[in-house]
Amino acid sequence: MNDDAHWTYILLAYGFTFAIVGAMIVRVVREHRRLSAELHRLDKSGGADG
Amino acid sequence: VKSLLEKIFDTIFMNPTRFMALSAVVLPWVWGLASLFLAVGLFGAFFLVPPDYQQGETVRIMYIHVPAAWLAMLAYIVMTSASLGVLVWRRPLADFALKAAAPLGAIFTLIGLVTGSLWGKPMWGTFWVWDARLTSFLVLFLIYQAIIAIRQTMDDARGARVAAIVTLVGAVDLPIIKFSVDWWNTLHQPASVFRAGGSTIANAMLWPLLVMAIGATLLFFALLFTSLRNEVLNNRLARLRGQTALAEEPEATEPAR
Repeated sequence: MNDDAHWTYILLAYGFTFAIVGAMIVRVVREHRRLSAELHRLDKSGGADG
Repeated sequence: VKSLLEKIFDTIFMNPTRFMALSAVVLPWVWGLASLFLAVGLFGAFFLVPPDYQQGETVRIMYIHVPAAWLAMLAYIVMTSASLGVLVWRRPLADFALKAAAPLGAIFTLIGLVTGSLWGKPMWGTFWVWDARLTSFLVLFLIYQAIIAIRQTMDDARGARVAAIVTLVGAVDLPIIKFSVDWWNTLHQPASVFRAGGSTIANAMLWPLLVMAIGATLLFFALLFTSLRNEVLNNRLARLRGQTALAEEPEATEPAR
């Protein structure tokens, strides 16, 4: 098998890994920001009510 | 050392407030170090490592396949410890850790399976064979899916206990994965890094692998602790919403008293 064919498999492997790990990082970090913002908002509204 | 380990365990699994304060300080460093190690490791893997005399350029797949496979097992070890925390010590954060680690473990197992197939095709001539190492690793992926499904369908204390029991039972797959290449004739190669007699990989190829492994492990813990923080925040939000609902309720329930 020639080197070009090897590079196809290498790029597929790295592309898949970067895509899936990147998506996981974005998902976890966005969820963290959303939850922090919502908690902050609820805390503030609770404080204002009190 | 024992007291330090107990302190770390208690910090992680016992006190959510202390965990949130500590993780807020530590997490940026873990993310930063993970990025640094992965950048150096990837540079080494692509620009400094020579082609293998047998595998040619394809050996570069090793630098993501091997760390992913290690992390797939590390995530399960974390979950097994968390299961003991749920069932034996009843630590409040242990169930959160179990819930947070399961999807991460499943993703790294999937990466191990896919990159292994993409490495296998040019080297073995096939994407897949039902040999002991590949099959036991696929079983690990299925166990992760089962645990995730249990926690998604039973989001209560009973679900936590069932998931913990399934995790402990599933832990039997870890030694099977590790020793499958010694116990059976497999197409997959035997251990070549952590083995009696030392690594069989040349130093020029080994160091980027170790750097990638450290970077990937740091990335795993960064994701795990961020997910764990998400679970704690979710729990606080649920309690706050419950308090708000209770505060609004008395007017409606007053006549019933």
